[in-house]
Amino acid sequence: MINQHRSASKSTTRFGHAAVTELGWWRAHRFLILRRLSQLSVLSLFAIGYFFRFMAF
Amino acid sequence: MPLATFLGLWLFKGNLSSSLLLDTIPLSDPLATLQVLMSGHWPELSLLLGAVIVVGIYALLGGRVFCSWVCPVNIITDLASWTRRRLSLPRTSEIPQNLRYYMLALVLILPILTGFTVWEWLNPVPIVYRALLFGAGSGLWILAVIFLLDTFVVERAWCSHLCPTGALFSLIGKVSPVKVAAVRADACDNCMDCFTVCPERQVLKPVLKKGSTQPFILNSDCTLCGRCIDVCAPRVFQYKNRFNSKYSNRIPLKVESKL
Amino acid sequence: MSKTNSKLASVSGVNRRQFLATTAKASCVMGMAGLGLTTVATQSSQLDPFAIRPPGALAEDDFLSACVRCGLCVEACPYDTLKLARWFDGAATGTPYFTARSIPCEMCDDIPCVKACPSGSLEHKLDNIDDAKMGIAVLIDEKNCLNYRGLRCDVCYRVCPLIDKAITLELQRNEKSGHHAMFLPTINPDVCTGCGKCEHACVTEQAVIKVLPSHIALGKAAAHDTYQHTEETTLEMLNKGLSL
Repeated sequence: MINQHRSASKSTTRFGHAAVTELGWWRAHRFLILRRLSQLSVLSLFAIGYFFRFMAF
Repeated sequence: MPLATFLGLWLFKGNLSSSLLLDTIPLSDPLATLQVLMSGHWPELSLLLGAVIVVGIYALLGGRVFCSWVCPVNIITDLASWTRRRLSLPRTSEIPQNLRYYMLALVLILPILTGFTVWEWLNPVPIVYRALLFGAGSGLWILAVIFLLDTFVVERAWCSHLCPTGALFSLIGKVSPVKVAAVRADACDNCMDCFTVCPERQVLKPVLKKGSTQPFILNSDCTLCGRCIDVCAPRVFQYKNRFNSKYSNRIPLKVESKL
Repeated sequence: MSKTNSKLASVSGVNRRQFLATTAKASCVMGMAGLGLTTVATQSSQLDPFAIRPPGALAEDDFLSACVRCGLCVEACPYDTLKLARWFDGAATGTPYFTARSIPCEMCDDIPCVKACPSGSLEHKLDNIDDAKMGIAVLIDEKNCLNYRGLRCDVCYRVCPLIDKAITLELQRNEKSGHHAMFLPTINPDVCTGCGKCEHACVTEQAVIKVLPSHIALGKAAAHDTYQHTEETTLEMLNKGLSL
């Protein structure tokens, strides 16, 4: 049973587990999270200007 | 006190196509600017300057950094990749990688032939911003199409095969100093996790194969997304400056050659 | 160098056919894609007659090649007049326009929309808003216009920013009553900017005065037309004793 799991380590169901166990969840997802933050903050920079314009004037 | 205004200035006006930062610094999409020029219109200085600034920034940071760190369509295509992994979908048929360069050529030739910027009618990259900022949301269906295409038809169809914006940024990024380098390539245990997650797998092989002398991923198709760094347990990859690193293949420093 | 040359020579012999085939396939696909894109884009770029471009806009064909759909003009407008076209909205997707009946152009003296445009699709050389040519107002329904019925509405005349220049009230005898005068709103197309304040203010359920694109609202006299001042010509002829 365990051997079956080991040989299936290349399958997508066990994808990324090695990194998470070795490095911890944050380091294994660091750049993914940072990228999402980056994409969303560029969007928000544009958005807060637009949605709050009524207060600005 | 309104959040939007910093020192009374509206922070960032416009959208990805062309914007004004702090009311002074113009920034423009280089692809849109090129299309305007190709259509025979000589634009105001603001648009041209904005394009030059953006090209300059991305030439330094890494052209396709736009794709993975700014572009909103990437959120959709990453979601599609994640869905593919979750549903364990089988490998899809391949379409030529260079198709996006043909698309870029097409997008730039059409304004010469027709006299107007045809591609901007369909271009999904600014559509998200226009939909969210200006309520022009009816174009969002194209994002659904991209999601379905990427998930069920051709893996990474949009970002890695079709998008002309990505193709243009790839060309801009050829000169960039910042690259991902396989600094600990000898520690690689062939788990193939990086290949699974990488949107441009062809860039990984040259740096990981045994006997490779080039640790830097020099192929400018690399989006510098850092997923290979994230998923690698032996920590093979790192961001590096290729012009200022002992891993660069340029003339070795005197100190190194003594070693 | 010679090594790579010989390598290329051996490769090109076998793969030349493949290369040509791939190029042919790619060109076909690109050709079809280009055709498809152009067709749909051209279709949807027919400007609806009620979609008015911002002041200073270039002629429509040039406008479409210059506008980058950035929305800076929309954000610059203090009255929220402008909006970006949605798909199949009657203007090319993402380009700015307004509909006079909902929100007209308030004719700002500093023309912030033109100043904000980075590409010049709104011409920066427009420095006086009175010179703008967004369209021409036309009093198109004389049957339903209250002034034409002999009443005193005058709203379009009163809201016009160029009152007594772009729009005047011309007196005419009211033949139906035999006693009263009618005050007919008359537009001077040389002065009218097409701002749409008249259309917006018109009190009828559907506006009887509408801003129409210049190519619909205006005609053009023939180049050889010398009878420009017929009143003076007629008077001249009478004075010379010639019969009319």
